[in-house]
Amino acid sequence: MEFQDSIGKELRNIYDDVVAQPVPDRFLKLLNQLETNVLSSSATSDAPRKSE
Amino acid sequence: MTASEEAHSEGQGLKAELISAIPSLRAFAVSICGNSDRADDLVQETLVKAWGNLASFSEGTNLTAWLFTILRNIYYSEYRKRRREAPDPDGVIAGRLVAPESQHAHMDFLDFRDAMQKLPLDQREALILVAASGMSYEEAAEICGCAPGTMKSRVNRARNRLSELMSAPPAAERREWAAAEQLSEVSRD
Repeated sequence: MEFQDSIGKELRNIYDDVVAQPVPDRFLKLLNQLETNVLSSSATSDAPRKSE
Repeated sequence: MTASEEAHSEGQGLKAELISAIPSLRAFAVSICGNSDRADDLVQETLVKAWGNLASFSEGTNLTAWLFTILRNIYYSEYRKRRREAPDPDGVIAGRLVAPESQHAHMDFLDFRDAMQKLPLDQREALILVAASGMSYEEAAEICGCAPGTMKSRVNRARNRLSELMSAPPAAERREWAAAEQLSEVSRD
């Protein structure tokens, strides 16, 4: 059972480590881009599916 | 408020919510695929897909859970595709594909990550959702589209399998240990 607790601890370490990191710029840029595309094409009903 | 202003403020609110969900989404992605570059590509695909399907998100429900569902569906379809292209029934190759660039940095950590990648995908995912993200069996089951009882048994099987994988050292190491043991027995005499 002790070892099984250490599995939980290890999993949470990896997970929490990433949760604590700041949101990378690429995602902020991506969301801005998606938003701009939606606003500029608000006449069309379909949201953009692709963006780089 | 004009229609475009309304669309704008809705987008702003939703965008803020999406941004606040990104840290958990990245943590889920890294934990499940074991590679941080690939994880961020998964997150990117998830955000694009989510943005294009916002209409199917019912407001007032859990946005993070919705995003997790999208991400695991993308990961599952990639996983199936890869297996069709290069069948790897025992996960031998998949187990080797883990973060080769930093293999010497944290041996213990990578041993654990290697072992994680050797778990069947449904068990790995169950373990991450319940033991790492702290979701209830019910919440995790909802994301994976299975019954809470199924989720519970996947978590148990994952824990047992992981214990086995991590307590069985590689053959070379076992030989060294055996040699070291013999040596210490000799010196004790």
